[in-house]
Parts: sequence; C-alpha cells; structure tokens
Amino acid sequence: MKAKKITAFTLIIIMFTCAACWDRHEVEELGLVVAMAVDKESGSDDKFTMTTQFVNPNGVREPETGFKDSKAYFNLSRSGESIFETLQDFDIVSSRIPNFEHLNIIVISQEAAKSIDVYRFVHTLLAFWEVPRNAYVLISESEARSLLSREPELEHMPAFEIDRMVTTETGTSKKQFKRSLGDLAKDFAAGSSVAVQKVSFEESIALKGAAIICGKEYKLLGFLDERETEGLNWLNGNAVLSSISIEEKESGNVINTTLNIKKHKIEPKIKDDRISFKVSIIAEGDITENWSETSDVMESEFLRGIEVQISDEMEKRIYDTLDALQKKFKADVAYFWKTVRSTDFRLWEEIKDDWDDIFSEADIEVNVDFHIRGFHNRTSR
Amino acid sequence: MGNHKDTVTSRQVTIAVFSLVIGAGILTVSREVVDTVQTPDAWISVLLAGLLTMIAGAMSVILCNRYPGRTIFQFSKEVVGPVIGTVANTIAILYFIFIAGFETRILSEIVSTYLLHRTPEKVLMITFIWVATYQAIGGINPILKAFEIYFPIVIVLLVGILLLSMRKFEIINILPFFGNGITPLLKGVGSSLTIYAGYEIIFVTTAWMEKPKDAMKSLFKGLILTTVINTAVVLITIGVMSIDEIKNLAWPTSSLVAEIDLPGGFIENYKLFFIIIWMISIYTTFLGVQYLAAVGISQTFPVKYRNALFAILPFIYLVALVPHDLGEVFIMGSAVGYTWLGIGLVVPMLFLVISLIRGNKKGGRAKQK
Repeated sequence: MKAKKITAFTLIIIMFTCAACWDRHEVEELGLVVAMAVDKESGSDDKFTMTTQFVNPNGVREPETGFKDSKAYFNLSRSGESIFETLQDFDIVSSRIPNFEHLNIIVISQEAAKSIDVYRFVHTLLAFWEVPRNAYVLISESEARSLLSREPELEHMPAFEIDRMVTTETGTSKKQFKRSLGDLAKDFAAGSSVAVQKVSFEESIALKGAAIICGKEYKLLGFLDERETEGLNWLNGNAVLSSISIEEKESGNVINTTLNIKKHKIEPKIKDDRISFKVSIIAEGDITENWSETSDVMESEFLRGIEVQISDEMEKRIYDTLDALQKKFKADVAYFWKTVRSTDFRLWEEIKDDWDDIFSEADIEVNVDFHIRGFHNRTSR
Repeated sequence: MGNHKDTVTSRQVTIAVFSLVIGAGILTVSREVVDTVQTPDAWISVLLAGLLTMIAGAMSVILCNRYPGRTIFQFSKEVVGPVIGTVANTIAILYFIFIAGFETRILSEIVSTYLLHRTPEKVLMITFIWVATYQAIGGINPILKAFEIYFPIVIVLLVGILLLSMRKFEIINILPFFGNGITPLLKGVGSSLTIYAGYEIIFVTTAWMEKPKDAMKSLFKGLILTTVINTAVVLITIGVMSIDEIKNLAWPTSSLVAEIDLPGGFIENYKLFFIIIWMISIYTTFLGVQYLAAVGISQTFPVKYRNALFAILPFIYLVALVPHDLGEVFIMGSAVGYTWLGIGLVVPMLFLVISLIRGNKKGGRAKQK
C-alpha cells in the first residue's frame, strides 16, 4: 500500500514538473496577416519588398465610447531576396508572431511581376504550411503597398475592402474572374498562362481589366483592357448579372440588357496537324434600358432584331479579345488547351511545349446565341 | 492472450477492415498513382486495385474457413510445416511492426507540419504509441469497439470534406478516359494496390466470429466501402487539382482540403477537420497492426500477449526513427506497400493452394487460449 502511495505521489510530481506546452499560442497575441503586397526594390534587380497588413484587434472592435481609439490595421515592410527569409524577418519588426492562416489578398506590383518569377513566388508561399491556397492574387498597376495603406470608407481595413471587391462574382464582367494562389499553381504546373485580376488606383481602388502572366517565364506580359477582359470572361463563361449595351441599328438609340451566360462550350477540331476551335456560347438577359421612342419591347420582331445585334456585338468583342491573346500576347488564358488535352491526350503530350505558338496560329470560330427573356419596363419614359 | 472470450460480430469485422485499410496511404496515394500513370484517369487504377484486393480477400477467407476457430498464426504451421510456418509467421510479425513504425512516423510528420511545430517529434511518437498500447492491452474486443466509435466520425467528416471539395471539381480535368491506352492504367494498379494494405485483420478475426460464414460478406462490405472512398479521394483530387499540380504536392489530399473555399467565410480553415480524420484513421491502423503483431508473437512463440505487446514497443519506435527526411518517409511508405503485395496478396493465395493440395482440413473449433 505504501509503495503504491509513493508511486502515485511521484507520478503526480512528475506530471507537474515535466508538463510542457511547446506550441501554446494565445489567439489575441497572434499577428494575423490578412494581406500582402510585393514591390520591387528600386535600384536592385533581385530584391523585393514585402509589405504585410496585420489586424489590430483593438481597432476592429466596435468602440463603446463612440470613437475609435486606434486604426484597425498596421502595415510592415521588409526587403530581401528570399521569400521565406523575408517573411520570417517580420519577426524582427513585429511584436506579434506573424500568422498567415487568414491571408486573403496578395497584391504584386507590375514592376515586381515583370522581374520576379511569379511561379517560384507562388510555389514558395504554398510550401509555407500556413498560407491558404485560396488567397487571391492581384497585379497592381502602380505601387502595391500604397494600396494597402489607403483608409477605406466602409470596411475596417484595406485588405477587407479589396477582398470584398475580388470575391464579388456577379455584376460587371469588366474585371477578370478571381484567381487564387492554388489556381495559379495549377495552371503554372501545366505550363499554362494565367490571367489574373488587375487592380489600379484611380480616385479609389479600382478592379478592372486583367493581367496576363506567361506560362513559360512566369513573368507579367501585359494587361487586357476592360473590353478585352469582358470578352475573356465571356469565353470562360464567367458572366452572371453582367450587362451589355448596343446602339440600335435603325434609330441609333442605346439599348442595354442584362447578360447571363448559360452555356459555353469550346470544341477543338483536330485535323492532321491543324487545330481549330469552335466556341459556342448561349447567353440570355432582360432589357433594362431602352431609349427608343418608336419601338415596343412587346413586339417580338423588335426583340429578335436586338438579339441578333447583341449576339453580333458579343462575337465582335470576343474576336477582339482573341486577337489580343493570339497576336499580342501569344498566351492561352482562356484554357483552350484543356479541351485539346481532354480530347486527344497523346497529341497533347507531344505538342504541349509548343502550345503557345500553336494557339496563336489556330483558327477560332465564335458563335454567340443571345436570347431576351424579358424586360423591366415596357418603355423607358 | 488477449481477451477474446467474447465473439466478434460481422459488423465489427466490416468496420475493422475499413479502419485498418484507411490509414496513412490515402494522404499521398493520388501523387503516387498519378506519378506512375501520368494520365488523368489514374483513379481507374485505384478502382481496379480495389477489385483485385477483393479477390485476394475472398481467397483469404476461404483459407481461414478451412481452419475454423484458429488464426493464421496458429494454422500456418499445419499448412506448410512447423519450420516454414514459424518463419512465415515471423516475417508477418516483422511486417506488422514495420507498418506500425511507419504509421507512427507519418502521424508525427503531419502533426508537426500542420499542428504542433515546436513539439519534438519524439514526444509525439512516444505519446501516440503509449496511448495505442493502453487501448490494445484489453485485446481484440476493446479495439474493435474503439473502431466502431471512430467509424461514424471518420465517415461523416470524410464525406463532408469530399463533398465540399466538389465545388471546384472540373470534369475537363479528369478527361479523357483511356487517353494513353490501358497499359499505364495497369502499371498504376501496382502502385495503387499498396493503399489497400490492412485487410489482413480478417486472418485473425475470422477465427473468433460469431458466424464465421458471414466473414466473406463482412469483408466484402468493408472492402467495397474502402474502394469507393479511395477511388473518390483520387478522382476528386485529380478533378480539383489536375494531374500536373498533384505531382508537385507533398500531401495532395491535404492540399485538396486547403482548396475548399465556401462563400460566407463561415469556417475558413478546413484543414482542422482533415487533421482530425487522419489522426483517427492513422491511430486505428496503428492499433490494428500493433495488435496483429502482438497476437502473432503470442501464438507463434511461448510468450504472453501482454508481454509481446510491450516487447514490440521499442522496435516500433526504432522503425519510426529510421527515415532521415520526408523523402525517405515516402520511400518507406512504398516499401511497406510492396512488402504487403507479398504478404497480403501472394502468401494467402500460396497458402490456399498448398492447403487445398494437401487437403489437411481438420475441423473443430480449436480451444481458444
């Protein structure tokens, strides 16, 4: 009995003295990083500056006294040549240990995207276990870090503002569909070029157009403007509650309709060594604006005329986009290559290294079929 | 000698097969299969491998049913003679210790990568081994009951995670079927067979089943479930990640979970659920093989089950420490798989053939020790 007591006592003592908590982190002591900006360091070729946006929990909390005592975020910058090292160096300047689990937004400046290898950057970040694969990547026209220091009107911090803008999928198709770190990694792994969202700074932060990153050198090739981006989004079937305006043939009045893409299909045709594509898109929408006094939207003849006109307009814009992709950039960011791979795998294995050249030569036929489903008002006046 | 006065129900056998087969292998299977097959239809290999395992499993049950009431460790001496039988048993025991060590190592790798970065891996391993040992002391029944408790948790979380991943599934990523002919698929069967290691639990449980005739049915239920899950994991991983990306990932299944992105930001980090599932399934696999090794020793050599259980602990730990880096851990994983091809697939068939030729069918439920 005595021996048992002694054993029990010893065990309890051991329990207290040997207890360890190697990985204890208090939630409020973590430095949550929500956004990251990458800029090129001026005067150096390889060095880049990384800016991270931390959440300041005291600033996010709703103030009871009626005024905010501190900003909801703070930004820190470090420069370096190695991505991982630079990230770790934030420990030097931050009192909180950076935690990247809630990283949402990564903005890379134009200059940086032209000089650093974007794939290496994406790959290194993803190898860092904390970084989520669904953080969104954007390319900024100007300095990236200045986007993170602009006080937003509605949200608590710039990162949240940009995140809201990025993740909205309905509405305009003038901004490129969102692309995450994981998406980039997948496309680059297959040797494909990628179009990511472009962010610029006008009077406020603006998300429009697309930036094209080459799948060979993994560097920024250039930008698509708003119109070309629309065409690209339509090609990829990304248009929900978007809209399109045309001038009516006879009267020259502006007519605007909503635009939803219902079906889109890219069919490759492989004959001998020529590859051509047939793109068919079925879209529909409602008439929202009609400045014509003479026409009546209840007349089906009028509607059919508009449908044909809109279909032609969409085709025209898509052809313009394709022209830019094939001639100017030689980059298949509309994923035509996937249809080739899924049709003839052996052929794809042979040609995948020269795909950009083959794509730029390929004949592409676009067929848009637009239907008007309804109207919001019989006349506009 | 382990507490198996109670008999084993058919449902317990089904769940045991599932719990042992679903283990560390599923974390990396997509990468391994895609690496060998190189086409988007690699998941077909996994399906075929599952069917092959079922055939091997069926033969094993036929073999076990020829010697009712006895485990393979007990009747192997009768099938191939005492000397070869003892050698075969020893090899099987070493193999189970080998898997146990491997599972321990994988567990500590995952936990230290994703969860506890600063906790020494040795502490993780030792804690893990001791917890499992505590559970295994009671013998087969507590183990099977633990499996029954964990089973619904694993299934619900696993199916939930797979369904959530479907949001990013692109059919174009898994096309075309047979794009490069059937030959690469057959090659892939070899490497995907390895994830079905673990059904060997039936070599032991069949002996103590309430209704030994149901052994075949419960084994098939368990293997069908496992095949469906394995195939679904590989299929969905390929559909979401595409084959080119899978080749770059250390833990493809974990990256698949990291891709989940639900609007609303209700839960942002699904990795947590994933870690729960894999810790449980690795634990159940470990528990099973540790038990098999100990029971093997106690039935081959004059050692008590309890003593055998404690005696193998240092060896399991040493095996877990063998790989120097993550690359070697993966090599060890394939080694486990290929050893299994011999022990789990070839040996039972061989035993069955020899047993049929010699026709030494001695009936009667042997006395349970």
